Amino acid sequence: MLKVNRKLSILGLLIIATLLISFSIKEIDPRLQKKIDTAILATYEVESKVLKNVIIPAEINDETPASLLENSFFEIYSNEIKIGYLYLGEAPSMKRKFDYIVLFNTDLTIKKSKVLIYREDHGKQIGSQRWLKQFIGLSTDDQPTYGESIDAISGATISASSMTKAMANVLKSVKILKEKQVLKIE
Amino acid sequence: MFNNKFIQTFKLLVMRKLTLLVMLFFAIATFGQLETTKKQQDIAAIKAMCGCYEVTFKYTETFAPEIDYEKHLDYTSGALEWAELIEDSNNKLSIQHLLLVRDTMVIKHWRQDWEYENQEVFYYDKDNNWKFSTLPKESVEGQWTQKVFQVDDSPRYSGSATWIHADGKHYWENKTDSPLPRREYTKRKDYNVMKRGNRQEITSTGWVHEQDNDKIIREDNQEDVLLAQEKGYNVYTKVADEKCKPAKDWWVSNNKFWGKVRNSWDNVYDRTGDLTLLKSVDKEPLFMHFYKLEKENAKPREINKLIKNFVADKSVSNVKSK
Repeated sequence: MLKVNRKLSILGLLIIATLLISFSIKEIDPRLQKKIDTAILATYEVESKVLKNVIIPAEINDETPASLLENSFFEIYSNEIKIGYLYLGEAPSMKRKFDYIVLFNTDLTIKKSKVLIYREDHGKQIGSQRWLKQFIGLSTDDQPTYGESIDAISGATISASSMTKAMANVLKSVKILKEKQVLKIE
Repeated sequence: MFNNKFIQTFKLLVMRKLTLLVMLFFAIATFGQLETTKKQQDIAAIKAMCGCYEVTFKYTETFAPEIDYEKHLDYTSGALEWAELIEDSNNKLSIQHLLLVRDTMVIKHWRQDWEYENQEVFYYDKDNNWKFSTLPKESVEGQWTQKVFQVDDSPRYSGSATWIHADGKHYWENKTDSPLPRREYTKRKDYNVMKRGNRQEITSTGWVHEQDNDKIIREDNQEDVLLAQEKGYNVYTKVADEKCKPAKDWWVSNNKFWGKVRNSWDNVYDRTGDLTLLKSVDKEPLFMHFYKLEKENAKPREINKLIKNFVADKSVSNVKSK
């Protein structure tokens, strides 16, 4: 009886541990990771890079409009020198969700944004740098607005406004990180 | 009575057979004539690409399957080009293109060979490797193979198709794999094979080389990945031959040397299977080595030696003799 109880306890612990691990660590899909790596190397014009995950305390994450859970916000290093920050997020398109990144300079202005994986045929225009370049240079004090400071795209209204909203939320969130001194600007 | 009937039936049979024979003779003769006419039309179209041309080169990337692909800038250029017919035999025509830069500087450019009902072809694989093979006779009936060579007469790509003469148009179309074009050869590392859609059309003002190309990532034992597509539009406008005089003169002075080079390459191309060429020897690509040999009007032995230095798979060369 005692043996059975012990075995059941171990099994229970194992199940809880597995559940905890799967909920706390959001694995980045290898295809997405490859695209992130390519984007960093091309944008910062470096040959190698290291990503360091920025751990955001749960209470601060509750305050930010963009989710900053694990594997969302990173410091980027090349040859041990910090060259910028990266935010990895997802936003809704018409029927599904797309993955995007925002690459920051070390002063937290936007260096570039890219849509990396888009999962439907409609609205793909938002991936064009001709449209995305409007976000370049924005700082945490800026709030991009679709149709006003950011041009609308005919035929991709849902995805384009979704991306604009996501970018505004990321900027707002990074501002909070700065204010709470989670990020220390050199 | 019986004899008369027999003779009449016999005569009728002979007449019928004779008529059939005559009809067959005319059919064969007409078909043969048609075939000759078609081949003559093909030859005329190919030869129409010779002469002096003002050329505009335009390329633009069009579609990419992945949303994060950033299209590269358009490529545009222009030049004066002399196209010299350097071989004109029954089943083979060869055209050497020479670029004329700033009216005086001549650069040996690409070469296109056209071979009728040819079975020997080479297809680009990847990593500077070409596969030489033989096409079935029936698959090349009435077709012309276009073989395109680099500035140093090393291979680029080849493809076989029929010249079309219809609705007042004269064109030839083919899709085949090739290495990266020279304009991207040293600049791009994100793809390694170009699937070229070539269309060469003879027009009233010259000819147009239209391309629908796929930029492909090819790795061993994996399916090809399409990176991006591009449109190429190269317009050749015929001008007076006199404008290309420096290029014509250059060829008169240098054609013997390049004839020796072609002969050397022919020995290398006489194979089946792989041909892998090194990208550089002594830190220089093949065409740079040729500058020196051209200046010295080098002998075949030296040319052979240079080419041999660039052939990576020496063990399989000359496995087949024509």
